[in-house]
Amino acid sequence: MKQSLLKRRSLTLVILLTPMVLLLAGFLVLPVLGLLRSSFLPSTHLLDGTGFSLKHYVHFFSDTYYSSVLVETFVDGLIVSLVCLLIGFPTGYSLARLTSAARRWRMIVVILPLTLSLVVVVFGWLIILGRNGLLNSLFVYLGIFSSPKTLLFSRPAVLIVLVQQFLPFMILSVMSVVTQIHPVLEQAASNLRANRFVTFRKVILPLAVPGILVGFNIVFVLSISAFITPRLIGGARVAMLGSLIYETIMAQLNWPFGAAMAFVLFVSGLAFTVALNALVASRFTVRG
Amino acid sequence: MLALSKERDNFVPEADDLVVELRSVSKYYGEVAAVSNTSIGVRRGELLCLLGPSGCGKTTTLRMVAGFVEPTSGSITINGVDMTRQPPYRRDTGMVFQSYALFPHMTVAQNIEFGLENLKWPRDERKARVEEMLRLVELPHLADRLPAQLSGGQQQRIALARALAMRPAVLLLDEPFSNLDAQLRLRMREELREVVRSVNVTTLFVTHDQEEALAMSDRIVVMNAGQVEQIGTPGEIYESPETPFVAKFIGWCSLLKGTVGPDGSFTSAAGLRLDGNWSAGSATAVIRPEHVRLSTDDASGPSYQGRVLQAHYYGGATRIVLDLNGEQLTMQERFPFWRHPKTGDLLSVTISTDDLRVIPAEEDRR
Ligand SMILES: Nc1ncnc2c1ncn2[C@@H]1O[C@H](COP(=O)(O)OP(=O)(O)O)[C@@H](O)[C@H]1O
Ligand SMILES: [Mg+2]
Repeated sequence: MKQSLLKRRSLTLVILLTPMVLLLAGFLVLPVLGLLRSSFLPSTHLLDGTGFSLKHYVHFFSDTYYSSVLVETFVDGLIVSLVCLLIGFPTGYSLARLTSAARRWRMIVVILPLTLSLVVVVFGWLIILGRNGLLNSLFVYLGIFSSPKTLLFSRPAVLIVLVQQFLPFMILSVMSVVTQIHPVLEQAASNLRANRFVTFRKVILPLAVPGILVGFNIVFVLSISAFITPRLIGGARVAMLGSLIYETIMAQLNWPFGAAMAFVLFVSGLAFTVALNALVASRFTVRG
Repeated sequence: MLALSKERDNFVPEADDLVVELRSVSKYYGEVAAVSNTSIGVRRGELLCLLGPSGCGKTTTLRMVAGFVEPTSGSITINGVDMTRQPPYRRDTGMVFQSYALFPHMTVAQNIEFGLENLKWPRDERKARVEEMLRLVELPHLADRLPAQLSGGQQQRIALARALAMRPAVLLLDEPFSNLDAQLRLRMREELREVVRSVNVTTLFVTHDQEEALAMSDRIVVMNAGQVEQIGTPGEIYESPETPFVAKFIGWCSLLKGTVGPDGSFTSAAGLRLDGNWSAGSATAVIRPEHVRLSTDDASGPSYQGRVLQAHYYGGATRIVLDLNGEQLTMQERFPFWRHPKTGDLLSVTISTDDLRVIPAEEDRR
């Protein structure tokens, strides 16, 4: 009786999961495995030839330029995630504490940027930050700048645009976790002589860690793999690994080396987020 | 079981030693008065209960004392210090929430220690106090559990221990038993009473359950539509209700509207006459089931013929609604099963008027 129920359950599970597993296997796992294979090709051109070689990995790690770009990419990812957290937490928290009616149109404002094509967003920023753009005109008009300055093609510009793009993910993750924290817990803390700051540190923050972590992971992964923004906003002067891979594959047609870089990014990104999650989890989970 | 401190049984709180005092407190939500012009004093060491129907403003009153709701007007003092505009964390109160509100990410011990940390108690004193509180609620073995691993009754006791650990001037409880099943509710009621007595803490308690209020309180504040109807001991509230609302709300009773004549006797609107010595004027008679008895041969006073409208058998007793000259009265009597009255039967009853309360009409218009 129990046995057959269990069997029926697992059958349902299989049926429910099959479409997703097939989709992921066909369009994600297989291509990634293909990419992995091609990163070991000795060729430096298209995906021709056979053989096995570590030369692309050796090339990546022996040239300090590439490893410095890798480090830079990670630092950028961390900065973007942290800034998103600093801006996104208060926003997500206050959204969560609104009534659902009051939340509705504010949510639309948060989500709207995600519905625009990334290219449109980036061109919008080009108009704002360009030499004859909005910001330069304004600053010159106000007398803050004596002549237009180059605001584009700098690392801060790239980081600002990345923050703008990925902020909604942080806001939504924080909001969803804070809606799970019942406001009566804040009142209880307050009754137990905790001021707003202590309540935040000892009650809200620990309970919000899962949402913060989700938001942080999403923003971090999206940032380190960004390529359109660094290319268009940062130009040739700002190198992030994503745009470097794009360049290598699309301009130089060097698929194997591009694949190798993609794999380095993939593995190191994964290792970093797993380590971060483990660290935070061990710090914030209670024994019990 | 906890040892009851005997001297506390005869405890009489002093009328002028107030731990919490609300003076003419009102709270408006827009145009709606949740609480209006309410004055209540909680005496040192007493268990004072706010009793009233749902929506009468009990929770709002309690939350104003805790500081979660700011009064629109009036003042609140705790131990003589004006706290009206102070945030909750500056007030010397300990609250047990209806949902317990234990911190889910902290162990039982950490929950209890939380308030002591914020009060900057030294570490070893905190640990000792946590142990003491766990012993008080008889759950020392649960110190390292998480709240999710506790039953409802256990969570309730931990919430109580957490609130009491800080030695607050006043313990606040909002319908603390409403999430428990009926049997557990009775037991927790006893336990709470014992714990509160053993640590001698002034307590302000909210309930809509009149039985709970009668059983637990030193004094009761009966509230209705945001206002205080009556403040008194359970005995005073039950025996001499000052308004028909209080009479109706506390225990079963029939309210008869009528007038008291110059001879001191009461005549109801439908013409039912009760002999007595009340002051003349229009009035409401409060007739409780225990005032109405089946006539016996040696009964004193007049006997009335009543027609049975409803009879509900409750095992131990039968509750009967009688029609007496056009007035409906409820009585409670033990009948052998074979003599059980049926709808339409005639019963001969007497009404004992010795301790019967007749409320003059001026008193219902406050
Ligand atoms: N935050 C609020 N906003 C608007 N009205 C409220 C609010 N809180 C309570 N009320 C109203 O105030 C009245 C008293 O509420 P409450 O104190 O919760 O009653 P009780 O605890 O006696 O059931 C009710 O009519 C309720 O609808
Ligand atoms: Mg209430």
